[in-house]
Amino acid sequence: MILDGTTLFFLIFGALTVGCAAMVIISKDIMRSVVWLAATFVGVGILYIFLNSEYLFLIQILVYVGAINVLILFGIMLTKRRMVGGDACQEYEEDIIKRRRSK
Amino acid sequence: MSNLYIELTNFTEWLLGLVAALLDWTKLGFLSDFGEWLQTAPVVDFVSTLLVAVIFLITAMMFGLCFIWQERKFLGRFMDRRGTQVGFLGFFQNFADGIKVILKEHIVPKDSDHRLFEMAIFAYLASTFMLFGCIPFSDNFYVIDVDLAVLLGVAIFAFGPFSILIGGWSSNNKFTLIGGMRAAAQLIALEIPLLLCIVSVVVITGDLSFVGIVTWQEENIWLIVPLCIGALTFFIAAVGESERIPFDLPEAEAELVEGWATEYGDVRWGLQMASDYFRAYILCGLFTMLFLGGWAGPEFIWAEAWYLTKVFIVFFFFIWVRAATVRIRTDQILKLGWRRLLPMAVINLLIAVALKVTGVF
Repeated sequence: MILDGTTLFFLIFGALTVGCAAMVIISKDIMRSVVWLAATFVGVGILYIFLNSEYLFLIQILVYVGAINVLILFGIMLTKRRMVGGDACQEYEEDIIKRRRSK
Repeated sequence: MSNLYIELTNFTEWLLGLVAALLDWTKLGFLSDFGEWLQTAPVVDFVSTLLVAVIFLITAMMFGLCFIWQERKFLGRFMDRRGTQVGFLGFFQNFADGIKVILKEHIVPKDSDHRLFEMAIFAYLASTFMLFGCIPFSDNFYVIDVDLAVLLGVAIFAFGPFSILIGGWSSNNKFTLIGGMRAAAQLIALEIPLLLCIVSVVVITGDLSFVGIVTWQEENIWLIVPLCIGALTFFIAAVGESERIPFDLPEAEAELVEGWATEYGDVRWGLQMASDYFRAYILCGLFTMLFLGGWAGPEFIWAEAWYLTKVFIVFFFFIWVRAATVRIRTDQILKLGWRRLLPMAVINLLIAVALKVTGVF
């Protein structure tokens, strides 16, 4: 099988995109999932370049990385969570205790 | 001035020819073959593009750094003092700051998310440096001149809020988290009027490349005249987008230490600080391109000099706004973005469409 440059790069970026998409599911930390998701979106955008549609690539970056991802990040940050390696949020813990008692 | 690409392609051909001749002189077969390969068209193209990119980046960065000096000096005058005095006219202040920042230790907070912490600042800086390449100095001095150049710049801008949010979160610190949230909210609130103003320019000129937009303005009229509302909106949004003083909520030195970049030390912090000015330079460049006719002007000085003169004048107004206005609050910034600037941008877009439809342009 003879690989020309375009096919080779298509395969490389395709594999990277699939890898990033898998990492979205595999990674434990939801924040890292979002970063991998951004990488996936960029990867999909790069695949659009191979289809000779640069406009779609730019819109993909603008809409998905610039808007959708930031929206997801806001969603994560506005919900209660544990600081990395630190103490759990106090109200969150109190909530858990209340729920346990009610059971 | 002749075209940068043509000049550097000739230079690269000469340079690689020299290297190939040297390799040939060794009389080793594989080295001679390597020398011949060096002289093929793809390699010459690659090396010359790399050289163009490096030269353009350094030039643009130097003018971006000049902004810091300009701000120190002009802000000093606005406050009735002399500004920095280090070296000749205060030019060496930047070098002193740069050396100081480079010599600092690199510290990563113990409880932070190390990889994301390192990644976020690089994503932010890389997007800033990529933006440099999007703004041409003239139709001869540029890195990329593609049909979708304006859209490319806007798309790279979209990486900003994302990397800021990641950076603010991964530092695992209240101040950085609040700073990151504020920065992202502000950037998004002001990005939409900014984009609508760009759209109005694109509607009138019918072109998405900077060369096309500037050529149109050379032939017809500077767009600040028909689209004065849009120019004003773009200016206010640009000041907000570059996180400068009236809109400095993301940094807010009094409340948030240093905003989302609090935990960054050493050269990362230095480049983050400088990249505020780089982004201001890019936004001034965008304003010049879209509304002030870019490098258009009488031909007694170079086109590049016209462009830079206009950029520095626009930045003077940035400094003036900083010196003359008071800071605004978070709720006010969102109100300003969504209730004032957005309607203004929409009205401006309507004017642009009306001018196009009625056949004025």
